[in-house]
Amino acid sequence: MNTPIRRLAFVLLAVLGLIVLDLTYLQVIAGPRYRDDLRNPRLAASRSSTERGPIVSREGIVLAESTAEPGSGQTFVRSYPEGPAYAHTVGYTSLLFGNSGLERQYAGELSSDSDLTISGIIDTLLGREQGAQGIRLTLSHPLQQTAQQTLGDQTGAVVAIEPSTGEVLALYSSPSFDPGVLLGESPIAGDALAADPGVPLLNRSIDQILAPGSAFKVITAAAALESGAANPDTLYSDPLELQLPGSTAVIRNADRGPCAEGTEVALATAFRLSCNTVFGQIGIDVGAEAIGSTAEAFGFNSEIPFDLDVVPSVFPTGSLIEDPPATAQSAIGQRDVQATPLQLAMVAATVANGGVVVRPYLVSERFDRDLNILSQTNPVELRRAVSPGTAAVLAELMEAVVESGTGQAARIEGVSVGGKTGTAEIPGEAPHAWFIGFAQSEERSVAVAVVVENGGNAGQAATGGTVAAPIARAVMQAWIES
Amino acid sequence: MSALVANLLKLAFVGLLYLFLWQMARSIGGHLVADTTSARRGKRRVGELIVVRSDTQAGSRIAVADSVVLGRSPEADALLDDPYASMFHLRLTMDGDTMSLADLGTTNGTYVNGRRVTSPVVLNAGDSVQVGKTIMEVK
Amino acid sequence: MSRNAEAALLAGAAVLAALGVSIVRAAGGDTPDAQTALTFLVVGLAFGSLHLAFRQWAPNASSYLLPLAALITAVGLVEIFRLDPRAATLQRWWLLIAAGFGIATLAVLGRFGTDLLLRYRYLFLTAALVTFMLPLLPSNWALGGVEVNGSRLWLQLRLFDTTIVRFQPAEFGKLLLVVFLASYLASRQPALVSMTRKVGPIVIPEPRQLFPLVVAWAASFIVLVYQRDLGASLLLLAVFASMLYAASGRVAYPLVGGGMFLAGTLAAAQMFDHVQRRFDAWLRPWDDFADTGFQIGQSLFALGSGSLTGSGLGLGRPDVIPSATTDFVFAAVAEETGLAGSVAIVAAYALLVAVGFGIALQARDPYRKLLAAGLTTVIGIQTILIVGGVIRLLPLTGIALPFMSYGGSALVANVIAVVVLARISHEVST
Repeated sequence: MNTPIRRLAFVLLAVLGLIVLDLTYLQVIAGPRYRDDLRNPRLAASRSSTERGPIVSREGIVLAESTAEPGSGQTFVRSYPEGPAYAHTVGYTSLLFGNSGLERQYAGELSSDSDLTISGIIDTLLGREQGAQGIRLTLSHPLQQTAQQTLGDQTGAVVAIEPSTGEVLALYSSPSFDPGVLLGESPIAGDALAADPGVPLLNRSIDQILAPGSAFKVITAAAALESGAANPDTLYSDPLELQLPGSTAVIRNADRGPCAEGTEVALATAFRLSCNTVFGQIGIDVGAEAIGSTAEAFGFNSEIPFDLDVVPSVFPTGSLIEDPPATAQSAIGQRDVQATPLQLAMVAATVANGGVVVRPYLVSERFDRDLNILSQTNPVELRRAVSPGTAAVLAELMEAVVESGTGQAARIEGVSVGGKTGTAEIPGEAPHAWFIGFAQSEERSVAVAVVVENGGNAGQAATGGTVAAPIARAVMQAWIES
Repeated sequence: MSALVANLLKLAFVGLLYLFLWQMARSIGGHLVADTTSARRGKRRVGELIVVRSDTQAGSRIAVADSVVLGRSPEADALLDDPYASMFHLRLTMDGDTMSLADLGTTNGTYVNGRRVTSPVVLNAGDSVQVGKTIMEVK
Repeated sequence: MSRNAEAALLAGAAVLAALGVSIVRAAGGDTPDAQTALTFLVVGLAFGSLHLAFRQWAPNASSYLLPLAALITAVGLVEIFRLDPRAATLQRWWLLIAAGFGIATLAVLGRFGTDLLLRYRYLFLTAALVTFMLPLLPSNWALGGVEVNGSRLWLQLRLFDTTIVRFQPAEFGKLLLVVFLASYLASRQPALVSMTRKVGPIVIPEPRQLFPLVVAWAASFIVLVYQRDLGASLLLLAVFASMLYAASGRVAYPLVGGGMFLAGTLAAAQMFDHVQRRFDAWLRPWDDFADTGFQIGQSLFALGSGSLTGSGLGLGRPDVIPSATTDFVFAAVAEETGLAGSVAIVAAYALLVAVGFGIALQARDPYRKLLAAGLTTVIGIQTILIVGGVIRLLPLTGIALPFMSYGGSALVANVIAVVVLARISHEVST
């Protein structure tokens, strides 16, 4: 009789062991998911009873703050005084809709309830008060406002970066929204935002990749220059249309004419006038692998280390090898090449920074209740994308674009401005208008990327030079003159 | 209450829980090991009784493996067909080579070698067990 | 472990209970008060007197049973106090009553031995069936049944329109049934093993041997289904199957038992809305969160919020879990003491189950082995059913967590079960 009793004991103890495993899963592995579930009533209780630190702009303008509810003293209300201008970057912390943006990424620092970290445990054990910390952003209020005003009701995004440090000076996505409407107790306004066909909740500067069009020619040119096969004066034939080898497809220029005289044209001229025929040929000559590795050196095909999650930009090197027609189309930023505005702003910043890629960042410092600085972010050089020589040549090419090419609308008197326009053709829709570039004065420099989706107010007639370049100019000027 | 005190108290409570369990688990572990070794200490044998005097059962044999209850009830393990026997009269138990007998608190009692059983007794080969008019002998 | 070590551990349990109550008071910004002292005294008095009774009537009994029971009871009292101080006061009285019943049981067994229970097996069967049926008494009688939450499990004594006491007779019915099964199966063990009949290729025991069992099972099962208590039906079936298996060594019994239960519950799910709802809540708690999934959802939130070390006693929000002092007391403890605490509690139950089966293995005859195994199975299966239900490993069944849930009848029954186990372990060496 002992054998069955032993087995019975074994079965019951095994089930108890299973319960321990399940408890481990529920309490630790899946625990945070249940803890942060919006239906968990503990959430409302703890959120509104802990004060969250403020978020301020570069200049100290308050972007998010907690204020004690009058009379209670124990419940706090979060508010976003600058509303839509910073909605995507600052984000929100809402009982009904959860967290987003920096409010989510810096939830631990802002609310200081991160009791599971080792330092948190030590601090608590030592009785060190973990008061709510504030964070200061690199975003500059005039630039953010300029981006919001110049984009207006057009759909698109603006990113501005300080080229040598990586400080993000502007990060704006349009259409935007007022995070305040997500804070109430009624889900109606928030549900309407989520259902809006314009997708205002989408952060177009980092969460969406689009065809960069001719703006990508900066990378194609960089690959050609780095390979040593070309210099600005290298001459290419100037056909009316580029017949793609082994296919019936052709590449034409935007005006359906030749690039210059129709005989031969220098690389510099083709870049200035954004000639697709010539850059298609350069793409075939240089090859998908060289362009791909240059694009990856600039940050394509990998996650950009940033304070917010960024969708990786794509250059599909593998699928292009031994497919010259596809390579030609990719070299002018069409087909499957897709990039975030942040990535393209980093391309412009890298050129302005002598070829070195710098990590972009949004949070410059954390400070405590008494405004003592707790930590500061230092610039980090990630890698060299192109040689200083190539970077200098690229900068000259881009300055010529603004001086006398497709990007003249970005010109600022007395300031050295370089750029590249892009007009990405979308089958059946108006093209996306791009401008990426930089402006440098004695004291200050800035790199930008601007995209206006589907031509914005200009519709089918839109080009990067007419729609995006003026916006870029306004934003760059705001920084140079501030 | 400060966060420090709250955390210390929390850890103290759980710590005390584990201290308690540790004390228990340590000695229970040793106990169970001892149990499995004693359980392996040899196979149980089957003992046997022969009914030497009975109105109806004389000559029949009763095998004793593990434990057997004798009685007048058809539900008893082995039938004692004797009007003076109780429904469940006595229990025979084998532990290794040792057979023991316990009376189940009967009215008329059980006699081993002529002496009335009051507490469990060990049986040896040749002992006589009497219930009412029935006499059995241990083999 | 010696009896003195047992006494030391029981004192430790009383200290733990007092510490827990003090922490709860401190969390509310209060200083320890009479509640702390009362908790210490009641735990100490109840288990201390049981300890003395052990010394008197079962001096060689296993010394592991009482400390484990005391530990779990102490944690339960703390959490009940944290959730509902008034319920804690009542539970303290129940603990003293349970200790009284335990001592009385031990005194009787000490005088007559466990064989006493063997002699009156059909009396126990009848008593078990009667206790299961008691709640069906008309509710307007002085001693009548009451329906709570759709299940008719309670018996209440009312005099002059005042409810004197309420209890769940089924808690005792379980024990009575185990006593019957142990004595019946022990006497029938050779028949169950050897006498077989072939039905086609399947070998089954002689049907005549199983007849009383089937009657006992069917009667209790039907009554329980009629009273709408899924958990108790599941528990009884599991105990039946386990004890049959222990007695016969044949896996067929638990398999057939499991199959019968599955068929029974599927039928019940079709027939009774409340059973169907339990299954929905188990399989799809988030689909209808506001209704069927609410309870289990709150339990999972509590577990997740507890994380590794818990919120601290008195600092979580287990009050938002429905039935937090009874069915969901484990979730409440898990929230406030974290994984560290919840695993400790499960470990305590595992040790208790291990000790119980250890007693069964060493018991001196099949009857005692089956009785010890049966009582241990009752405690173990109840723990698994309710803890498994609270963490959504199993469908939720309303069963008391032994020694921990708020509720007098269950506490009394569990203390009696432990006392009988102790007496069996004592009789090994006499």
